[in-house]
Amino acid sequence: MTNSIARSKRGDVQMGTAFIRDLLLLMMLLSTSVYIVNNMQMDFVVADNSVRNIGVLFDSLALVPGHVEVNEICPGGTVIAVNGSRITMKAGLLGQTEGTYYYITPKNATLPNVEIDCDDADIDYIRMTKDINFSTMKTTIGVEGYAKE
Amino acid sequence: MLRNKRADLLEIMIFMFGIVIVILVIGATTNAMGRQSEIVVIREIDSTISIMADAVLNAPECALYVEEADIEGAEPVLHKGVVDWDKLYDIPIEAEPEDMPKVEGATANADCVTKGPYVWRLAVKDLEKNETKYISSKCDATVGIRGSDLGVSIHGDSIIGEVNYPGFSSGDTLSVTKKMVETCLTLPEAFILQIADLATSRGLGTVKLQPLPRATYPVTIARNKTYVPGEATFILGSIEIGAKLEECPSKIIESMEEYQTYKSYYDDSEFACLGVIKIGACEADFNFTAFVVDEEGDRKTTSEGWNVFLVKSKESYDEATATAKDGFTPKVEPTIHYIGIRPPGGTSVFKGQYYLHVEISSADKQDYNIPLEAKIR
Repeated sequence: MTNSIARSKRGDVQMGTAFIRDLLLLMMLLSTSVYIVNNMQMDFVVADNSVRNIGVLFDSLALVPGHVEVNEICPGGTVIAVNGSRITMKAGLLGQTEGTYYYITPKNATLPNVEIDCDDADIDYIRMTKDINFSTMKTTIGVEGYAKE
Repeated sequence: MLRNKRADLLEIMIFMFGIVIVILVIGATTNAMGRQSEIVVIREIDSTISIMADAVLNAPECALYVEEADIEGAEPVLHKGVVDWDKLYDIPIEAEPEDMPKVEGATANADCVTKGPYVWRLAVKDLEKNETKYISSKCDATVGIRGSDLGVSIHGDSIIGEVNYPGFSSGDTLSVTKKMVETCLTLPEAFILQIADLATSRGLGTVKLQPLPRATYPVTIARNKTYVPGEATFILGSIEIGAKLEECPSKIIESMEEYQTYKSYYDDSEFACLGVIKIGACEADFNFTAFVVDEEGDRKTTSEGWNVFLVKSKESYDEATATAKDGFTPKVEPTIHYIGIRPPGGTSVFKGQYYLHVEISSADKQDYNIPLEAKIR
């Protein structure tokens, strides 16, 4: 009987609330970090997928053996850079993430070197064109952003 | 206020548990995302094969037969799936690369389609005469197999294959000839076979090598103005694009080790050989300049008796490049270089007071410069 520890009910309540506070804080930290990490990872996937979607359209130019023109909606919130046969797309709110795609092109082709900001008010669509000069067998690939008429 | 120790301990345990959960969740998420992107990359080669084959077969610059337009000014007539026999080459794939006959105009292959890190070969078989001809992409300067589980890179000019994989030593090289790199005709399969041999000889039984994807299509062959049935087999390998200049420094300067003293073969004087400058995969043309600076950053010149030169190997160095005075700017080839320094009054003058300064600059961009420095101990 003499060994029993005297415990204060008030102290128990204080400790209990401290536990709950710490737990809530921990859960908030956990969920915030998971949210941020997930979002950054998702941005990578979004950038990767978006650039592939545009990239396969560029690929299709090579599959048509004559003149061809392909039009596609410029995906909002992205910046598309076409440097030679490489397309780079920047996307994402939490830091800019990049996706890269190489499209099929004749090795001796004249290739574009442009950057299109899809958030630009004057740009709604992207136009991709391929022209071939049959006397020289030279191919020219072009890309431009343009506004809805 | 009196606090219960058991409660404190419990609180700490809950915190620890929470931290472990955080690490596990973030780790699992990152891992899952990483795996997802890896799958995308690996699958790309499978989805690319049909689109590449289609482009090779149906591009007028590659294999597609183009009929001249009869009416002046009209565009030529194009029929997909019709291959021009004259655009293909008689290079036998089975032959040893050194024995490959020189084919007139074979470099025309370079004008055919290209796509990112891929190399390809197309074999077209005339089913009536049972004859086969080929066409292939031209490899770029730096190639490697992405489809395999091994990191392999080849540097076009020096033809050094490096195997970067646990279990392989840095001395393991692949005997790849320049012709193989130039034409890519035998490259993908030769690579796979050699890597497999190396893996076997090192006892790496678990190394997985992804077979190269291939696809066969029925085609019509236009041969001497007649049309015959044929079969086209397309093989796709992947290459790795060389690093951009911005990514080069780590690949260029692998290490700048402590110097060792050597005797010159020419005049018996002593010089220090500082470290290994390894030129790795670099997409862009670049130069590097090397010279010695003192602790104040002042460049040491020949008038003060300093010589800095390029040494091709630890055993010998080229007197021609050795005459480069207080520094040098060679256009570097992707290989290993050593830098030799001959200070005035012998190598004993170093004693940690001098630095080797290396600047890497772009051949295209004048303002691009990466300075690196290593202390001469």
